Amino acid sequence: MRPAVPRGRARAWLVLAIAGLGLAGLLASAAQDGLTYWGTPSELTAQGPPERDVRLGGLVVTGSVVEEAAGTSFVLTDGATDVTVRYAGVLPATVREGEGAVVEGVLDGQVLHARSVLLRHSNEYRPPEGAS
Amino acid sequence: MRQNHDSSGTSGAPRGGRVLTLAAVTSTALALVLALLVAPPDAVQGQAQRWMYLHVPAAWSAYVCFAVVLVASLPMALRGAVRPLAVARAAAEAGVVLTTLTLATGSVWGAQTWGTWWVWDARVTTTVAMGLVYVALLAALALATGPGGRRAAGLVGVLGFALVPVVHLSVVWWRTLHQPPTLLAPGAGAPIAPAMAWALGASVVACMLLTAVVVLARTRRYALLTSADPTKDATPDATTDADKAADRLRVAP
Repeated sequence: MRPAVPRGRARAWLVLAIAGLGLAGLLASAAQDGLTYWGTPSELTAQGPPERDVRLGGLVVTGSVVEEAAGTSFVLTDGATDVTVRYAGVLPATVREGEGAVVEGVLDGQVLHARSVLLRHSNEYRPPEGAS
Repeated sequence: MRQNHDSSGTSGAPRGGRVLTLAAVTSTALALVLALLVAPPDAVQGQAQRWMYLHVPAAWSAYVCFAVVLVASLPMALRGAVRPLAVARAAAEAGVVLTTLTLATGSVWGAQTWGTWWVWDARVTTTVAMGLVYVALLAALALATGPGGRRAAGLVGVLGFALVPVVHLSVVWWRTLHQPPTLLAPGAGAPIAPAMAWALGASVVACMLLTAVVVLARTRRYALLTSADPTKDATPDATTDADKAADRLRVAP
């Protein structure tokens, strides 16, 4: 009826379909896994089978980072429960004691064998000590 | 098409538009100086923290674009109005580009500080969802040639805005890799050094003004295209009556 612009309209429908499918996928994944990215040491050590894949978040305990040839270890805490993280690789240069970290790997009791270590940073911004 | 484009170029912009462009350029120059030279590097993150001066303004400007889309979408959703379509399209386009910029700068910043380019935490997931909603809206706007299509697109523009506060508060509502807000935070927020706060403030102003310049220019262009396009069902001036008539017809059954 109207002078058609098939390419334009077809493309718009395609974009609409792809965006709709993407949204449905995100919604389905959020409904299944929830949107909580990590569990605390207290939550993860209290529940579930003894050895399983987890994503654990907490603060790196000051003075707990030990770097050896065989790998690295440090302690993550939520204030109530501590979990020792063992990581075979070299930690990212930005691992900082007292800051947050999120670790993926297999939790075995109070020890987590990490596959990957991600660092969180706080929402505070300040110049380095000594600078104005 | 070509003629429409030419006649809606910047040469036709009113004086207010030129003042706005000048303000945008000036504030951008000031923001660059403050963000790259005056502001100190962060004590913990070092130079990587400077991504904040692009990441945060892009995100907030995207929020504002989607608020403009919301306002433009209301008369479309309620009455199938034609006139706001040009603004809705221009603002949604800018918002999608700014959302992409937010994700891209966040990705680089994350690679330098978190140790990963991408994670599907709640902040990233909701941001991608927000971007997809406005990509869908742009497709819906392109398909909206009649009052029914405009109502549908308007509905997407109105309901889609619900995701904006979800994105912003995602870092408060769920445990994320992303840190909670420093400034637009519910409650006290967090400390930021004054020189960094000024750099961020200038960057936000610059980004919003640049966005306004682009959105206004593209709105003018789309408005001319719409009014000159014979395939569109009405010119803006004749719209109201035609739409009201169409509305009555639609409501009747």
